[in-house]
Order: sequence, then structure tokens, then C-alpha cells
Amino acid sequence: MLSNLTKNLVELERDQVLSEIKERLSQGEDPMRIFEECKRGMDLVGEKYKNKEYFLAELMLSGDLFREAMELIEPFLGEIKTEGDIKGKVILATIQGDIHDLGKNILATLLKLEGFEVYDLGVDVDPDIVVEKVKELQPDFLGFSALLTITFDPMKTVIDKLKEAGLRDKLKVMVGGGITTSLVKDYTGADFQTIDAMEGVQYCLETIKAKVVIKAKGGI
Amino acid sequence: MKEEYMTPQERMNAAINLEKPDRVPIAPLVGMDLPAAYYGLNTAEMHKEPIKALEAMVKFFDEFGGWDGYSTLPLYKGGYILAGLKFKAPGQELPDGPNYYGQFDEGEWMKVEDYKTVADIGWLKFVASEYIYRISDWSSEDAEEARKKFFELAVKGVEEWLIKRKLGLRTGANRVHPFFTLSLNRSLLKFTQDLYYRPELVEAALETMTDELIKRTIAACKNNGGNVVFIPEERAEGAIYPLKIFERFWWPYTKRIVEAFYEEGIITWLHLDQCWDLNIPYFKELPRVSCIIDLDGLTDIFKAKEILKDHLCIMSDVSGSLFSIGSEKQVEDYVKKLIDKLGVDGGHILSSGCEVPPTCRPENFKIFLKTGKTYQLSKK
Repeated sequence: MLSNLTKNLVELERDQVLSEIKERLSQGEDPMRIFEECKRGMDLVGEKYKNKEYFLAELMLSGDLFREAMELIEPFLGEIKTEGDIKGKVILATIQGDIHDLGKNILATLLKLEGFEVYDLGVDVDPDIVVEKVKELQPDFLGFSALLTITFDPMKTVIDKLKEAGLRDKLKVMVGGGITTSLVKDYTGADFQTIDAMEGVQYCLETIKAKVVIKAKGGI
Repeated sequence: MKEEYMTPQERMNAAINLEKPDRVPIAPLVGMDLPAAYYGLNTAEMHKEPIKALEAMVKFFDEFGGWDGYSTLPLYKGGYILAGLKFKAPGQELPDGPNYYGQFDEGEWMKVEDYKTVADIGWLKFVASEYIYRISDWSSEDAEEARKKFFELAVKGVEEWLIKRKLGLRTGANRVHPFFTLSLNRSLLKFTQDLYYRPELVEAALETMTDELIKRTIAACKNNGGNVVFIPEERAEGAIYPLKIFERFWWPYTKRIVEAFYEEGIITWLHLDQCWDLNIPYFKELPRVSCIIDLDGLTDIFKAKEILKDHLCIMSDVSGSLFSIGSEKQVEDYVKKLIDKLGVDGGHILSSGCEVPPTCRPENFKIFLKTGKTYQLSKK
């Protein structure tokens, strides 16, 4: 049985969601419970997207609604996540020459919801800065969002430099965006390519899951 | 090898009318960026002096032996601002370097209250009277100067493409779809919120913008002799919105535009970027041979052909990534596949999926043209 809050979030009833949260917080209700109901709503939106009942539009609207909900809840909640809750670290960037950030922003929102720690380097990012950030943060994933072909060479440059620095095997590299194809994956030397943000999230989840199994079996 | 026996215009008209041309007509979208990259020219300067961009485009066209369409003007910053679209140009808002090309500056530049103004006075008046100064640092004198510059460019474009080179697609106007215009000026998220939470405001603006677009475009075509109108859209498709949104906010307005143009003998060239697989069946509702469906590689073009065959011409989709990092063999094979599957007997214009990018390998562009020009004629 879904709570009223969860149901309204799934149905994108923005005003009802926000007013119910305000009301319940003012009555001193446990903010963690409110958070869990919102999170459940986002999980259901994700399922509807996978089942093709929902589209990118609903993913965006629900993501923004969840962000607004969290702005209300967080002051009452303190830190939600502990180190153990974080599934993995992801660096995202739109590389030099390209200022499009739509796909990157959607992916960032979805990854955060799934428990990933996301470092968004922004748009038009110099390849050397990406390499430096990888050295500093040691992420599990590096994701590039691209809408222009001029990004192909700078993305390849980053991956080549990661190889030179002996860092390439320590992370998975994803390329995404309307201009990317399997050709781009091969050309840049990435591990994964998609034009669908949800597929990107799925890839991260499956890769992390596999990594945990290997660790449990005493592997690397 | 058989000989060509049609002019570019005859060839293009045959394809659009689903009749058999001597060979597939070729109309790659070559703007200013590819010629700039090829000749090592500075695009920052071209955005300031678009006549120079047009000259580079014409030189590139001649050097590569030409093709059948289309007659475009350079898409430069001043032109976009006049149309009410914020734009970042190299050497201005972007660094001036070989890796930088002009790009739309999408954002929440237009506010919710602007919908009513647009509905009341129309998009053009809204842009000219106030919006142009919100999305640029222009003074009214700058705006006047930009209009003069655009007019000179348009006259030169007609002279170079239509009079001297007699290109087959006589584009009388380029018009960004009202839906796309609003989406770019509100940002995708805000516009989507408007569609879901304040739909009446959006509809009122779309009504006025559609009527305005039809009226001024027909007038422009009568004035310059163009018979094709280029309308780009990349925000209404099934990859982003469910069909209930498409059916309410995009399809009725598009249908109205296409039908009005068709009555005046004008072909609508719908440039549809992103994946339109879900939406393609709707286009069967348009009058037969009333428009060109131009896809960019993300829509399943072969399935689209199956659905729209005997009804509308399809413009194909050699992708930017194939042009940039594919091999000559890969380009050649894909062009042959397009020709074989999409309309040897008409209904296909060979083209690039969106603009041919500045990173295109010259040898790939050459093999694209060569295969398009010779493959059918060399067949027994």
C-alpha cells in the first residue's frame, strides 16, 4: 500500500507533495520516514521509466520535485548517508568545446538517488583537469556527456592520459549523449556508451554489484 | 555508366513527389563550421562578418564539386539573436580557438509572465521590442545594424545559391518550431514544468506563434521565390515526452503549419533531431508529398520509410560520428545501404544526420558525395 506522499510524488502532484511535507514536518514527524516515502516514490518513477510508462519528461519533473522535497527535509534530517551507504564515486563532465549539460545533469540526479557520490566538473572542462580530479578523487566511474563531435578527441586524450598514469584500469569510463555511438566508444577507448541516462545508472549499479562480489570472493 | 539527365531542381522535386529521379538527390547540411575547419578560418570572425562565412561555404561547395541542395545562410550569432535565441559565439562568450564553435545558450531567459505577452503581441514583436535586449548586449542601433547585415546576407545567399548555382532545394525561410523556440528560451526543465503545470499559458503562446509563423513565412516565400521552408525541432519527440504531450502541444500546430504551406505550394522540411520512432506514424496524417522528413540517425530511418512510403519523402541521416571517426569504407557502405533501402524510385534525399560537423574527415565527405552521385548510375 503506497502512502499518499509516495503516490502524489509518482503522479507528479507538486503542490500536494510539498504542502504535505511542510505539514508533517511542522507536526514534528520523523523526517527520515518522510524521506523514505519520497525515495520510494522516486524508485517507482524509475520503474515506470524502465517499463516505458514514463518518459524523460517525468524523470526530470520527479527529479526536480525530489530536490525541492529534500530542501524541506534536510534541515530536520542532518546527514542522511554514512560512508557505508555510498555505492560508489562518479566524476561527470562535459569536455572542452561543448557547453551542453542536460544529459549530464539528469544522470547526476539519478545517480545521487541511487546512492552514488557524484562530482560534477561542469561543462567545457579541460582534459587535464579531468585527469587531475581522477587522481585526487579516485572514482569508480568517469562519465562524459557529449552533444558535439569536437568532444571526441579531448575525451580520448583524457583516457590516454589515464592509461599513461596507470589509472585506467581502476575505473570505468562512460560516454553518453546524442552524438555518441559505439564508434565513439571504440574511438575514445571508453567502456560503455549510451544515449539513455537510466541505462547509465543501470551500468553503474551492475558494475558496482560485480565489484562487491569479486571483493567478497577475496579478489581485488 | 548511365548519364545524369536531371537538373538539381528536377531531381529534388522528383524525390519530394515520390517519383523516380535519375539518381538520388544529395543535400548535406553544410553550415559555416565545416568550411571554417577545412580552410583553417576563424569562426569568431565569421560570427561577426557572416558574409565571410557564406563565401567560405560557397568556396567549399565549389571545391567539392557541388551537390543538389540546399540553399542555406550561415547560422551565426546575430541571426539567432534576431530570431530571439540566445547564443554563445567563439571569441565572445566562448574562447577563440580551434576547438570552439557557436552553440545555443539555453536557459530560463524567458519568464512565465512572458507567455501572455507573446500570446498577446506575437513572438516577433516581443523579441524586437524587449527580448532581444535581454538575450544580448545590443543597443537599438546594434539591432538595426544587425537587421541590415542579415538582409544583405540573405540577398547574397539568393544570388550565390539560387541564381548562380541553381540549387534544388529553394529554401525560402528557416523557422525554428514554436515549441522548440519556447523550450530553448525557458530551458527544457522549466518548459516541461510549464507543459505539465500551466498548459494554458503555453497553448496561448503556441497559438499566436503558429499563426504568425504561417503568415510571415508565406509572405517571405512569395517575396524570395523559395518553395521549401526548413523547420528544425528536437524537443517534442517520444524520447522526451509521452504522446499525450506531443498530441496536445506539437502535433496540431505542426499539422496546421504544413497544411497552410502546402496550400500555397510550399514544402515543409521538418528537420527532426533525436529519436522520433514513437511519433513517425502521425506524419501519415499530413497531405501526401507535403513535406520532407529529415532524420539524424537516432530515429530508425528504415522503419520510418516502411511507415511513410508512398506518402512522404525521407531525408537521410549519415551521422556526425560516422563522418568524423568512421572509415571511408564505412561511410560508403552506409550511403549504399541508404540508397538501396530508402527509395531508388524516389522518396529519398541523401543527407547528413543534422549538420556535417567541423570534425568531418574530408575524405569521408568526398566518398559520401561520390557514392551518392555514382552508385545508382553505375548499376546495370
